[in-house]
Amino acid sequence: MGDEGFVNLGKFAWEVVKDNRPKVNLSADYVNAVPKDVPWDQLSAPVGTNTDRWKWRGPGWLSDDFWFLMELSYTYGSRYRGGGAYITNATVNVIDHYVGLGGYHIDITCKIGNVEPAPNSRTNAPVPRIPIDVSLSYTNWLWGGGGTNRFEIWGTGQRSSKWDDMSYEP
Amino acid sequence: MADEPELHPGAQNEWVSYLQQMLTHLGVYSGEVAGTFDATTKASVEALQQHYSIDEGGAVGEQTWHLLAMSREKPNEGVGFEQLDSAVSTCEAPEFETEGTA
Repeated sequence: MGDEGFVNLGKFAWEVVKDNRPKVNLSADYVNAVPKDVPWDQLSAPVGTNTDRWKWRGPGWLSDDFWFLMELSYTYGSRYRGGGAYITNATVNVIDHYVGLGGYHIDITCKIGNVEPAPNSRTNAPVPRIPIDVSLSYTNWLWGGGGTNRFEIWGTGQRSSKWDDMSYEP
Repeated sequence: MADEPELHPGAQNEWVSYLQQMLTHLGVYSGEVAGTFDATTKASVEALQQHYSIDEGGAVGEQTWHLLAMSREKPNEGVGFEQLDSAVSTCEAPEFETEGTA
């Protein structure tokens, strides 16, 4: 099996927050990167689960008009035939949130890019990487804004993230 | 800011309509914009004042009008991003076992 033999059996996009309310269904809203055409029972349990938390704060004059405490979590290090390092589950969830005054309409979405070999991937020891963009957008009667937290996670557990506040398009 | 008058529950005039429009835009009032400072309007005003620690005895006075005026201006700060805890461990990627070694 070569490096290109990855497949995402989960979703490629889902709504994390719709109309100010969290709506993640953890049993359905996830992504993974596993070997193509391989039954689940031939994959080992993951080595561990990594998490990454961040907080988005909305505008406000005296206090934040809204905030969302977010978490990305993903399993890493599942083996096939004792080798490779696969991601069996990655998801984004809302841990806590507050929406107060301001008449805001807030949405948060999760979009998955192409699953490709990570830089440390080898033919006999494949390692996938998954790009995950989590975007927040808000509008009210006067203005709007938002941004995207761009993640990349690897089957060996590494992750990178970059906050892009220029990604919002009204 | 114009010379907004102090408004009290029971008042009926165009300033109350203006107040109700502002409260609607702020998302704290869902009643009619009818120009009457009724119980629904009073509850919305009190919720707003409580949130911003304004005490004007149930009336809409200078502080509340100032807050409503500010709400028409975009705050300088957009979405704030704050990185919190992360728990990231890593592992190696071993090679596949060859035939007969499993």
